[in-house]
Amino acid sequence: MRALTYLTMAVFAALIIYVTGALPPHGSADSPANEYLSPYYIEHSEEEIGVPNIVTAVLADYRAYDTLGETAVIFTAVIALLLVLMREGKRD
Amino acid sequence: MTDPHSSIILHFIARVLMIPFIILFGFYVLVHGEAGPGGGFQAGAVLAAAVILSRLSLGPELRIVSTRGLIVLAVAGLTLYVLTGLIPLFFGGEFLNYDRLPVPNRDGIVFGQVTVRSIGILLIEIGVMMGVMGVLGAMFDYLIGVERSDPDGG
Repeated sequence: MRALTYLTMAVFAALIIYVTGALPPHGSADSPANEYLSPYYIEHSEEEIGVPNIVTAVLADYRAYDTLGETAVIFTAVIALLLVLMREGKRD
Repeated sequence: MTDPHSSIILHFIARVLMIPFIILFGFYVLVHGEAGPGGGFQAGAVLAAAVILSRLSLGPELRIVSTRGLIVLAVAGLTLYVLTGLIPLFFGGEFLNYDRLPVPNRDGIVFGQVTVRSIGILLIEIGVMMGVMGVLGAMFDYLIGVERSDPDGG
């Protein structure tokens, strides 16, 4: 059983290492994200959103739904932590 | 050192120099987030540092907000974010489409360079700031057990 686990891991590791060779170089101008997405944000965020900071325009407007999820995740995580710690406090 | 909060140097530095500056810097990071580096997450972390410093150096009677206040702040922050997203739905926009926020404007511009969209962004950044500040401060309080000595019940 353990041998099977190691074999599965080795196969997936080999697959990932093999696929890595096909990735565009880090920061390459020809990568799919840099070919149309980043230029679009750089060219249009000022007129569409009206804030000079492109990072804020992406984070708070184009990807506002994602930011809502991030905020909800830390909120939920800490509320769960507080519930656990409340129980600890009651026991002693 | 029977009383951890009795040092006058610690008290002066924290109360007069450090905490006011940290709070001011936190709000600067918040409102500057649309023009430069900054935003809700960073501002929330900076303001939570002020809250934690007040608990470490000044003692329970001079802390900025109570533990219950911090939890209320976190809930209110997330609520503000969701409400900012929901309000445009009633004015013909999509979820989180700030252009349709009911703010008096002329062609999307409220005054000067302030657009309706940037007001929406500021609102959700304030929501994120309140949420992050609340959860970080409340987490600190519960981890060190401050809430058990809370006069208003934690």
